[in-house]
Formats: sequence, C-alpha cells, structure tokens
Amino acid sequence: MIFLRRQVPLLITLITGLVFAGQYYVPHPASEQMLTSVTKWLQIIGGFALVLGVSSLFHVHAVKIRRKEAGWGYSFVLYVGMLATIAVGLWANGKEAVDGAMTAFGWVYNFMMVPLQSTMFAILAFFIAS
Amino acid sequence: MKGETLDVKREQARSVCGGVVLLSAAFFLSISQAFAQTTLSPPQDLRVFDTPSDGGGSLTVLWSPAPYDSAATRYQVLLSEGTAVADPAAMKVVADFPANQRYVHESKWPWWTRPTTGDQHQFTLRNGKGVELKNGNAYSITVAAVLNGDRVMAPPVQATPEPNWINWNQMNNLLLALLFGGIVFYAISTARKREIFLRRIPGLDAVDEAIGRATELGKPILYMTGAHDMSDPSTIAAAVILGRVAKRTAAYETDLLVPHREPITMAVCQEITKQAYLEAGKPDLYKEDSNFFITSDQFSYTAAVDGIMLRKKPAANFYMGHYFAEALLLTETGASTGAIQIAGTDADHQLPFFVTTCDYTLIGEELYAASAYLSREPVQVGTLRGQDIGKALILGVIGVGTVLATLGVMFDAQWPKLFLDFFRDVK
Repeated sequence: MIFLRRQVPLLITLITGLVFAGQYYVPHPASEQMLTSVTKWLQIIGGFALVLGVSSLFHVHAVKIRRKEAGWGYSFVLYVGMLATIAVGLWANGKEAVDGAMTAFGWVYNFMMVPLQSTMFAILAFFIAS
Repeated sequence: MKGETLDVKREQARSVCGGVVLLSAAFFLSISQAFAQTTLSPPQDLRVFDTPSDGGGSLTVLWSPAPYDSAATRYQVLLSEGTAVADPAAMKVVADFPANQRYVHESKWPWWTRPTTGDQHQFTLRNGKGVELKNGNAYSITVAAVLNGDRVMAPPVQATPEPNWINWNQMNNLLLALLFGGIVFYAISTARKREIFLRRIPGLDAVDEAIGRATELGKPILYMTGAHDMSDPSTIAAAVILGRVAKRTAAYETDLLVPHREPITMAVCQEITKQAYLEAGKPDLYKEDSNFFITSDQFSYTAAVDGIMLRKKPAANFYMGHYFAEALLLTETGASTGAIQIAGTDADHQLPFFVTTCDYTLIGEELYAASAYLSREPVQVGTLRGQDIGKALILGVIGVGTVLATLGVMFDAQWPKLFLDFFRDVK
C-alpha cells in the first residue's frame, strides 16, 4: 500500500520528467505529437481543477450559511449568482452571441460581470486612497 | 618640297594607324573585362540534402560562391517532384534572391553542425508559401543564376526530406544541463559530509517571530501563494515555505488561513498543509477549509482578502510568490491592521511596494533559497549551493565575454570574435 502511495507516484514523476526532458531534443513528428497530446490532457485536467475550486467555494459559503455567520446573506447571494450564471451559460451553450444577437449569457457577462469587475477595482483604489 | 610633303603625309598616316591600334586595343580590353565580369556560369558544387536535426519537410541547398555574385545578379532555387527532370527550365521557382545573400555564416546553425564553410551559399526549403515537401518523397532541386534576362542553371540534384530523431543543434543545452546537474550532485554530496554556510536572511528568521506573535495574540495567520499557477517556480517556492509555516502553526496551535485564486495550487497546498500537521503530530488540528478558493479574478480576490484582513485581523501576513497590481492593495491593508508582514517575491516590479509596506521582504533568489534555509536539509542546501556555482559560472562567462568584446572594439582585432562566436553558439 505504501508502495502504491509513495513509490508509484514518485516513479511516474521520474519517468515523465525524463521523457519530457528528452522530448526537447527529439524533433521527430512522433515526439511533437506526444507533446501535443499531453498538453491537451493538461488542459482537460485544468478544466477538472475548476471543479475543485468551485466545490471549495460552495463548501466555505455553505458553512457560513448553515452557521448563520455574520454576513451570511452575501454567501446566499453568491450561491444564487453562481447557480444562475451556470444555468444561463448552459442554456446559451456557453456562447455570448448567436448570429450577431447577444445571448442571456452574453448579457450577464457584458452587463454584470464586466461592470462589477470595474467597480471592484474602483472601490479598492478608493479604499486605499481614503 | 615634294619630298617633304610626302614625309609629312607618311608621318600622319603612321600616327593615325597607331591611334587606331591603341583605340582598338582599349576597346577589346574593356569588352573582355566586361565579359569576364558578367559572364554567367552554372552555380558550382550544388549539394542538396535533408535538413539535419529537424522534424522533416525540409531540404537544405548548398552551392559555392561565384565571381558574378552581386546585388545585380540573382539566384533562383527551382524544385520539382520526382527524380526525373525532362526540362529543368520548366521546374517551379520557389525562391528568388540577390546573389550576394544567403550564406552559411548567416544561418542559425551552430559551428558543430555546419555542413560546410561559412562562405558557401545556403538556402533551406521548408513547407509553406507555395512549397510542399512530403517526408519520404524524392525531389529534384537546382539553382539558377540570372542576369539581364539570361539564366544558367546547375544540373538538378535529388534529395528526400526525412524527420530526424535527435536535434544535434541543441546538444550544447544537454551538455550544460548535465554539467550543472553534476555540479548540483557534487554540492549535495559535499553538504552531506560537512555543513555549508548560508548567510543570514532576516525575513526568514522573522517567520518564527511572526507565528509566535500570532499565537500570543490568539489571532490567525494569513498566507498567500501569489498570482501564478503551480508551473511557476515562485509558486512552488511559496508552497514549500507554506509547509514550514504550517508545521509551526500546527505546533503552536495557531489558525492558518490560505486563500487561493488557482484551484490546482489550492489542491497542492491542501496536501502540503495536511502533511505538515501530520509531521507536527497534530493531525486532529488540521482543517480542510484552511486552504480555500476565492476567485481567479485579480481584484475580486484582492477585495476578498482585504475583507478577511479587516474582519479577522490576522497577526501575521505572508505574501509569497508572484504578484501584480494587487501587491500594494493587499500590503497597505495588512499594514493598516497592524499585522507583521513578510513578503517574498521574484516580481521585481512589485518589490518596491513590498519593501515599503512590509516588515521583511525576501528579494528574488531569497524566495527560492527559503526552503533550504528553513529546513537545513543537505539535499536542499546542496542544491542551493550547486545552483549558486552554476550562476557564478554564467556570470564569469558574461564577464569574460564583455572584456573580449571591449578588447575587440578597442584594438580592432578579430580574434575575440572567435571566442564570442563560441560563447554565442554554446549558450
């Protein structure tokens, strides 16, 4: 069991490290193809990592709501906002515009996310300057 | 009288003949010179071969310089598929350039892979822009010299592009990697035998002080790992230092807050923190949500962390890793809460802000040295020493190169260029 938990990951890391260090010196298309495939895999794994982040966010704010900690209402707003954005995004198939017409997801991004981000920066600047 | 007149006429005729002879000689001389300068001959010593050390789809053409090489004359590279060429004139022109261009010494080949001397002409045919070279297919290539509408060409030569398994142009990189790797292993073995001196880093000495103060005040510690993901060395260094900090907070039973803006970093830091609590013998004190994700948006993250600082009033703030515009917004807020602040970053553009607003700042390399400094493990200390020796070697070469380049300019000498070219190719 310890072998599976410690040695195997170390072995995988060692072999992968050596293979990709060697890949730098191999210009053959097969080598390039391998690098491309691994890069795609990395992007897919990166996508799954977002699940980790979102689940952490949900967990932290769920605890706040459950314990009715100070400012738990904001956590509730976060839940509503995030779920609504996910729903709208799925409905619009992740597209901001279709045939030149703005989708609901595009509207949320352009008229809610972007102004909120600008406002956040402006408030921070004001907070530091005040 | 009549005899005198005949003599004069004879003299005049002799002068005219002499002039005609001289003029004729001058005319033929100039014609022959002009003929020698502009006579086109087929390009000599034409060689075509698969471009070495590449992924295929490329052929290299070499030929000797000619007396007519000038901006007025042009070279054309012609290509056709297959080995049989019925009419070379019908081949496709794939490149056309002045005859005083495209020499081997202008190419990017390092000296150890150059196929010929630097004064030879060289042209590399690659896929793209009207050229399609398929690996394994044979092609006929020739070079033509063109002047004032006249064109002469060398006999076509056949070659086949193939992909290669080793890039010999990058062998310098491999050799240097092995050399520096060897130095690191040697330094590790030295570190195992005797203690290696590490100069004092006040920012790291203050880590214990900051954690102790937080413990005394009963307040949490806030630790940030920077804006980059786990592929960045500064984030890796920040995660390693987090392990040391977490071990101390576990021993002192102090709360640890680690807000993240990158999920993978968060997952890695969760494992590091868990391991630190296990090593400290306090696994029951470990909280899964001590590492938590906020957002990947820069200023939303900053606002959230500022809020945590104002609400929870942590006694110590650690800013390790790479930061951008949020640096000052975070550290100003932290300073206003009266927390001890320790920063460590390789973001040189943010260093002034950290230096002015934090109690201690680890500058650049000190961040990478932190792990070895805090642990004093021979492997880490030896690695640090090995890296320092490598950096000293590089700095030494830069110094020697600077002196050689200066000497070359001062004394108008060519010999320093040999060494400088060597350094350039090996680097």
